[in-house]
Amino acid sequence: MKLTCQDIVKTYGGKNALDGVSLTLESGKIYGLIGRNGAGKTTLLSILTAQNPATAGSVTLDGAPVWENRQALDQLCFSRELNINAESGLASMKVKDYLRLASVYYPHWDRALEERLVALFDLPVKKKLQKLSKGMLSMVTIVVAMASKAPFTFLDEPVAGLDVVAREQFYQLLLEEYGQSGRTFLISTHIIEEAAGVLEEVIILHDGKVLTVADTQELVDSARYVTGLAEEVDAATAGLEVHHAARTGRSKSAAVFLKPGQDLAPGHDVTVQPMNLQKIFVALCSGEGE
Amino acid sequence: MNEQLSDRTSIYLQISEMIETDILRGVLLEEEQVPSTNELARLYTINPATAGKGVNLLVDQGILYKKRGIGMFVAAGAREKILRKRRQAFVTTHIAPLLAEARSLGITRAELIGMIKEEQS
Amino acid sequence: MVRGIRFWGRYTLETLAGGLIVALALLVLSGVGAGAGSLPLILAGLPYYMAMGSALSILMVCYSTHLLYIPLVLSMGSTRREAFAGFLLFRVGAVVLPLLLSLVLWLLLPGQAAQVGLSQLPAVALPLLFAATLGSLMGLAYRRLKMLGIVLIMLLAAAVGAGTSLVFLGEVTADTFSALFSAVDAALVPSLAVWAVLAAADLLTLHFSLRRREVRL
Repeated sequence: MKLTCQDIVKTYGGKNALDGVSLTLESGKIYGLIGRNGAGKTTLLSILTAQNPATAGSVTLDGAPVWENRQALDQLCFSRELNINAESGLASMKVKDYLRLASVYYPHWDRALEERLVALFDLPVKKKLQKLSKGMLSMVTIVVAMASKAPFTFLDEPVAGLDVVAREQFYQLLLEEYGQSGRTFLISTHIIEEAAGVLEEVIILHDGKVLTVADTQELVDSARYVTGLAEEVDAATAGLEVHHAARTGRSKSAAVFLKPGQDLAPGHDVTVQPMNLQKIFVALCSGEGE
Repeated sequence: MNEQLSDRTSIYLQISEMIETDILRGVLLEEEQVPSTNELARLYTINPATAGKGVNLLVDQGILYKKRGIGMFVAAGAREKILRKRRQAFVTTHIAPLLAEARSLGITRAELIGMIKEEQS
Repeated sequence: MVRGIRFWGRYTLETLAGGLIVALALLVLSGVGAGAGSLPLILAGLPYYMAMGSALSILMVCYSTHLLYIPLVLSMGSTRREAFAGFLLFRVGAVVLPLLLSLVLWLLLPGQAAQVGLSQLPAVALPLLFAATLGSLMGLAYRRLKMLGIVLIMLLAAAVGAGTSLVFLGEVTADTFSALFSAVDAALVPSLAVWAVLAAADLLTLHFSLRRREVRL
């Protein structure tokens, strides 16, 4: 199964939240969606799952449009970040009612997994959503995402509000579920480096556009952080893709992305270090020193 | 196994190195089963595909082999192969950096050999 | 479709229950206000109270459907068509069930009041129909103009408060309701016509609104 979106544009009040996004999500992978606040991540996820209409462009599952298509929607689950305040319609809904609703609407729902996870997270099922902490709300969205058993499952900031131990539990749970079912997961997250190892492919969204879609490890392997005397750094990186170059006095630093077959020019006195995904993201998306 | 991953080199390379080290240390014996990619993934919190890449590298080098439907096993003679491989790599991984650092510090060959003799005694 | 019935069916029953509770409360209050009259007479007033109670209940649920239930089912993968149909199904059920109960009650009760009541069934249906339509329109208004929705709700709350006090004070009894509904009866056809126009407006607005609606929880 492939979920494809083609040239998605989403306009809010004259401004493009998404500006020509095209992606293909394949079965059986864990994808990461990273981007700054306001890059359009939640908007994109809402459109991919037909919860919001696109201003232009199409979303198809194996060629069939997803919009208003029951068969296609049955394969998708978007467990969105729950932000419940007093005015929210959901505020006075109990956790158990929310879960019961999910169990009715997601055709592949796994009751046993739901119960296991509720017990694991010690979720206060009789409480109203308004009364839950941010961490507990994240756990509710995780339970829904996992128990939905949907072939394509989208999680928007699933670890928001979770402490580091709970976050580790989540990654373990994700790998366990992925290992067993081979479902496709797409996780959008701000906690990049922690999740990096788990993500097979990463999609970087910037200002409503896709900056890059790449195999995570290949992207990381292709990056070099080069520092030294400015002239040496320039000579070593001549003709290569350079980002986030910064000068301090006589020294310069630059993030370099090597294409297959490329390498730094040899024989220059520079320090070359690897870059992890988080550092790569900052180099590409901080909008400074380019 | 159970070492931590670092930034210094590709994750899948670290996985295969760790399995090799375990074979050398006797943590994994020849003809014994190696943890599955899912188990490795959970152990290191990495994607199974990455773990699989590390394992496949060792399969290609004849250090592991696959038993269909069961899993990956340590091949006979794996220890020897790993020792030979690491001895060959010793020059690149340890000797060349040593010489480069010695050169940048101005240590002569005679001084270097003297240092080695002293350290080994 | 089954999942729609499970979801909306539950809310239909809850709405009915809500209406009954209000009706019984009003009944008790009117019993207090009017002094001990004969039981069949008091009971014959129940359908009127149920109509008012259910109308209120239906109105509230239809209003919050737009704020809660529709965004909720859409967020869980329902199509907009399904949501439209489910909401419609709910409203039909919420209107028909109290009417059925009133019918049965009036058929079973002896006495003149019950007979009169039976003849007024269509008139009793009217507040239910208006509630189902107005509730939805108010919810749609709230989505567009929050202030408008809030003002309408406050007006409604004021009306309910006034009505309840009147019943309590004994100014309003089953006889009053009977008379009220007779008046409605007389204006039945024009009233239905007005409702039909509102209902059409509601359904059309709902249909077009759902097509472009974004899920905001």
